[in-house]
Amino acid sequence: MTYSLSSFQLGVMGSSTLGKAASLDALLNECIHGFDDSGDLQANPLPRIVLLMHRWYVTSSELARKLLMIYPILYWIVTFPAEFNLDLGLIRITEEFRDVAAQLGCEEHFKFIDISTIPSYDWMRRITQRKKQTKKGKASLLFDHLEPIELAEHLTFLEFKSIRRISFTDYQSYVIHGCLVDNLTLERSIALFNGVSQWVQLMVLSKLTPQTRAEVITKYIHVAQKLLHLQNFNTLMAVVGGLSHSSISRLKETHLYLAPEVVKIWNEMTELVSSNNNYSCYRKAFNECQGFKIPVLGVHLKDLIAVHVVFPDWIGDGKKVNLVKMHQLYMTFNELVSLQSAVAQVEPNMDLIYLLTLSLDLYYTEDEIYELSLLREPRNSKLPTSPTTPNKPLAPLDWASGVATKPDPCLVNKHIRKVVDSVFRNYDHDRDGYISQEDFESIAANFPLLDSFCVLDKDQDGLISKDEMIAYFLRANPLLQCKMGPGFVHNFQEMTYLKPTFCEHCAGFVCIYNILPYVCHNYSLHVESNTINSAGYVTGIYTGKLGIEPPTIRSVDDLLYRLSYSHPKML
Amino acid sequence: MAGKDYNHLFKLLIIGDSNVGKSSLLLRFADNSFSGSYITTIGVDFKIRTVDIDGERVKLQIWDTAGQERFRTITSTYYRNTHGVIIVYDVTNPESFVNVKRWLNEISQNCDNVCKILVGNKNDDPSKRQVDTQDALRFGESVGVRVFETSAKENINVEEMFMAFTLMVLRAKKESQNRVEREREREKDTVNINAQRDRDRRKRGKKCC
Repeated sequence: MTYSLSSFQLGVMGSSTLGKAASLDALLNECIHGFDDSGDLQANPLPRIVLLMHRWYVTSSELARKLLMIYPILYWIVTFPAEFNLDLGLIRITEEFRDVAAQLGCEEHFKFIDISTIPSYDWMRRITQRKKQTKKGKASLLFDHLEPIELAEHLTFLEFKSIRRISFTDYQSYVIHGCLVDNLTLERSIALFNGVSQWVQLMVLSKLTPQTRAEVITKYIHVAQKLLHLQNFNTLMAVVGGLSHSSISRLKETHLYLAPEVVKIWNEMTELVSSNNNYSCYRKAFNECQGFKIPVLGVHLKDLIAVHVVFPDWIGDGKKVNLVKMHQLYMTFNELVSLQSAVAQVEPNMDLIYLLTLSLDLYYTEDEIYELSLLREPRNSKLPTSPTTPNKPLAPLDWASGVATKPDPCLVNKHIRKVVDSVFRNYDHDRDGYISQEDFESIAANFPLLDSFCVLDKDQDGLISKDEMIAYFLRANPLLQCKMGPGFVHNFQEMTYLKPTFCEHCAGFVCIYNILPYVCHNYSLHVESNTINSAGYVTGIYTGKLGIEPPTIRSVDDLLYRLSYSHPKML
Repeated sequence: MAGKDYNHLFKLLIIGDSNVGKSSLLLRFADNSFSGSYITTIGVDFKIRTVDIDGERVKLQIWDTAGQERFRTITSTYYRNTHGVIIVYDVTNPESFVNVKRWLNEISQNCDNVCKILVGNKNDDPSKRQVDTQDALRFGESVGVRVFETSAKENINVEEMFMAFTLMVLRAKKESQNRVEREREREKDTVNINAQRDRDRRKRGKKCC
């Protein structure tokens, strides 16, 4: 708290005599003097600060105009090459400048300002591209089988890919305007964060018994540990945040099944990212990390906003840059923007990445998740409240039986719509509102049990519309319900009351949904065969296997897990 | 605790949509000595202010969630041990008012018993107003939450709102303390009566024998 301004200014501004505020010209002058005659920078941080932060105050083109001295430009090109690849105004000015240098016969200078060799930073611009599936049937389709480290690595890859696209101006616009309009990169990064949190919650809540829910929690705790090891704090926050959400933390019965050492690690992780003392634990850990690391975006955005609200940008009749503020912002921006030049440590399996993306893309409202949590462990269930009372775990049947409800067609409808939206978001590559034969192939590559294209394409026009896909899933749905009814009373209830949140989901891949519950232990099933009528198959198998617990599939992950059992070749 | 310079310590949380002026409100209420230079340093809470109210010293620890509104699970981590939540909307932005419901919902999922107050900020330009005061009051009444309109920019009603809310939180605390006390008293009474009865019985027993 006694962080005095003068001391930090001494540290930051080096030998500079700029004080707390300076005009842009004075700043640039100071920068230029930071370079010696051979163009080397004498350990002066100011040029980097000014170059990174300038867009807070002026456009890059304006800055370039001001920078008629050549050495800072060279340093600029080397330090932040992306800008010279992406900012059209800047490119034009640099080229003009280069032409002038050529005309004047300044070959030295001409050589310096060559931006043609900068590698392409196109990935920062193209944010809608999503990798298509090309290898058919090769995917290792399951998450339950993945080790925590593999999950953590792939999540980190996704996180890194998403977060490094966010540019200075994206952050700037969020801090100043507080909204995400025209800020797709940041929006997508936040969606990924929330997607991970929801995925964690849904995976836990998808399990029927407290024991199995505790197992999922345990797995995620281990994933969190690995994320910490990979120094990916953002995803760590998303995972831990998902687990500490009230929908999970209220599951008292589930918590009884957690091993003490798991609880201990969980508490440590929660403590690490807790907001206590302005995230002091996280900040300390983050600062101590060396090399590749991903910060908790939300915390640093909060810092930027706090600094922005507290300080004015300009002082002294609006002519002088507030250097105190510039430095404060710089400290955070520097951390965030340095990710652009970081190198990911992970060699990802793109199929997994793709499927993970899909898993994370399913949107639920918090209320829906909370409702599911209430269904799993109702509020006033008679649970032992005191730790001294020996607890006899209730059989899943006992507590489940009380909450059976009839499926609400309205809800079924709504959720099927949601899944279809998700499918279109991910597979309708040209965004024309139709799934073409080509698009469909990439769906089928991931979900080989889906009916053939013609089955879905009811009007046979060669394209699957949203309505056609919704209709297809709706047709499949009642079929499933009546097949499941008798003989599976307990599970049927499960199926029914869970339906709102999950089953329809997988109905996204409804044939799998139909088949898999009954074939998960049947390794001999040849699902590649195109002649199989999925509904018929279901009947055939399940009548013979009444003893098998028919699992409910509630998320893509779950589905993939089951797929891998039924289809070991895909592993 | 030795050297404690307050009677009560309350953790207050400011939530609401992005850009409704949460940080500005806090900044207004902050001590004049407030300097942003330590915001990003380690181990310092965003804002603390001590006020005298009802003859008592109340230390307020106010937590701002600005910048994190969209990270859904981050905001929910803030609720732990919170005594009061200030839900802010922007009177010039109807959507932020509509979203108040969602924030209330999040609160109810995360806190059992917490004081709440609804604050319509940016109340400084009547020509830009889009959320009617009457609508806000009606809504506040329907959910049992008091409504204030403020302008952090013009420093209108900010101090009043924070003080009124602090008083609410303080009274709620005392009420719950009283309740606990009364229950304890009642238990004691019950025990006493029983004990008396036991003694009487024992005496009578002796007589009999």
